[in-house]
Amino acid sequence: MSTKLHIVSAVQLREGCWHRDGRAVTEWRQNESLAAWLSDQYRQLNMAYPKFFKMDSLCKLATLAVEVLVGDETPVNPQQTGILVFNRTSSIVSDCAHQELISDSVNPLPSPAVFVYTLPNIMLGEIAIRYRLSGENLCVISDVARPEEIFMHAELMAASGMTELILGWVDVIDQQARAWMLRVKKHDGETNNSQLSTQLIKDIDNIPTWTHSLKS
Amino acid sequence: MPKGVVVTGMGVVTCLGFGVEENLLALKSGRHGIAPPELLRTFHHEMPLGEVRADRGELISRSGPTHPPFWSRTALIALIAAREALQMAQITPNHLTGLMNGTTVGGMDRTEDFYPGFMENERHGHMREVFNHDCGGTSEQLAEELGVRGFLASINTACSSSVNTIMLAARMIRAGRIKNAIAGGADGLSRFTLNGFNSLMILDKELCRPFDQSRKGLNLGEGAAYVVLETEEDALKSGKRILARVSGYANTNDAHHQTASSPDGTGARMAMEEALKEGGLRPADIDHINAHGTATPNNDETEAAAIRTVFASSPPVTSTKSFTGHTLGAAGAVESVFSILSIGERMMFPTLRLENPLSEHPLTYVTSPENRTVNHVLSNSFGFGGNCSSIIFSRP
Repeated sequence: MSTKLHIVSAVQLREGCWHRDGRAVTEWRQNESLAAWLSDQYRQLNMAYPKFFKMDSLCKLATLAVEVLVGDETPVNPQQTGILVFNRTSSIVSDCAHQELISDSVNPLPSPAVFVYTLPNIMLGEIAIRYRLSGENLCVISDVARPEEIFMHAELMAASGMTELILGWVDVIDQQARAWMLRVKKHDGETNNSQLSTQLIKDIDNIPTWTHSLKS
Repeated sequence: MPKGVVVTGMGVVTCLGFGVEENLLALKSGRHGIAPPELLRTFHHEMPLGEVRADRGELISRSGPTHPPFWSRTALIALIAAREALQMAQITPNHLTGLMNGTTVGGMDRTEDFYPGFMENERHGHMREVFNHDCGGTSEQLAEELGVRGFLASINTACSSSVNTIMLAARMIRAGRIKNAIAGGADGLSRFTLNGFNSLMILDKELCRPFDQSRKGLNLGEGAAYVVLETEEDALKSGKRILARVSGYANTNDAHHQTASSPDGTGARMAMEEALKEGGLRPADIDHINAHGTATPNNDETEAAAIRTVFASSPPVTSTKSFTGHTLGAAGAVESVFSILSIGERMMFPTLRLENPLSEHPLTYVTSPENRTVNHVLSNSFGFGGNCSSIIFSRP
């Protein structure tokens, strides 16, 4: 049995703005920091989701990517929608924040609001909460994207009953951000969309990491 | 026709001891391993921990890695447990086609030792101490030391990490992508974890009491556990002893909150239902449940609610975290090993200190070691981020 996986849409973070299916959907604007840039992008996307502001930068970036990807077209079968996210730098932004809080020699004071984000798979939880998705979810830490491996995980998820996948790569470290996201559907018949393949993953993974700076 | 996947070897290190035998002895005799901190340097003396009773030097001499300075506590206990699993399975590492490792803190303990001195003086310490800080580094050094050259993966889905590694390995074998694999996970205790969990206010200063009305929270533990998985066909051909079949598994997201479970345990319920479906089993087929059972008010109540929904009549439920504490990234694999032991030993291990079970969702609990033939055992592991996994092991 072979089920084909087709890409419904593709999102990339390129030079500080979001692109969906090759077209820019937000614009780059001058911001003080990556954190300010994230808020600015949130506003550009007209999201009404206050929980966004409680998240760390990694989860914010992931949430923005999925927002651009999914928009109003939330998956019709939330129980059969899988989330598969790859990442290289884990939850380093929050790990450092937590470490700083507990290393204070005078008053070590860990914060639960920071600690909850010291796991990269909290991204998956945030995506699941935002779009009410309860299918299978997996976060894979990898130094580089290996298209064969990404493709294999996607196929395994589809084989285990997921009819749709949110599949991507999200990294935040210091002022650097990297994200791409694919919406993939299982399809048996003919379709005009492109088929998920290792070559396609290679292509989308090809965009460079974006470093926030004051100039574009 | 998908291939049947079986377990032919397992290894475990927890506060109960080194190896399957020592752990089994403690479980059978109802002797837990949770005590005030002795090895972790922390000012939280009031927090009981399930520490592996060996300092760094002893762990190194027990495991004998090639370059000890690069090895963290997590990696050292991982190596000991992985070696035991491989030995039991009588498999040489160069015949292994996969290693899947779950961990949440990786080499954090070494990093914590390294930084205070380094921050004072940049010439202090060696970078090799933090070289394998990240989760992937731990998996890679483990694979290299063991000589496993096939597929390598690190999974961190918090407290469900290592059950997800077993699930990944089983699926890849079933799909014919790899022949066999060693899968499991490890987490050594660190101040990072202890302080973090303390800030969430889900630690108990007393010994934890899973499913008890008086439960206040969990005790942290550390540990490592691995299983060797191969196809039933290969195992039968080589005449190996098969410890258990992996008959069903599933992973879902609770989609409710970063750290808390939904009131009715939706994610947990779906994971158990899907695992049963995958295994072609009915709820009545399950003889025993090794629960996630962390002893936090939220987990135990929502897990009990979910079990009640799936099982019209509750199979005997236990939480072996009352023996080991919560070993986080290792918990799923540790409890998989204990579940497989329940099958082999025909014994259900008790939940210690359970006096007044929570009343809202009544379940049947194991409160003293019980001799009983266990044919199908379901083990739950739930992680922060809403990650819920269930796995079913069956008598071969």
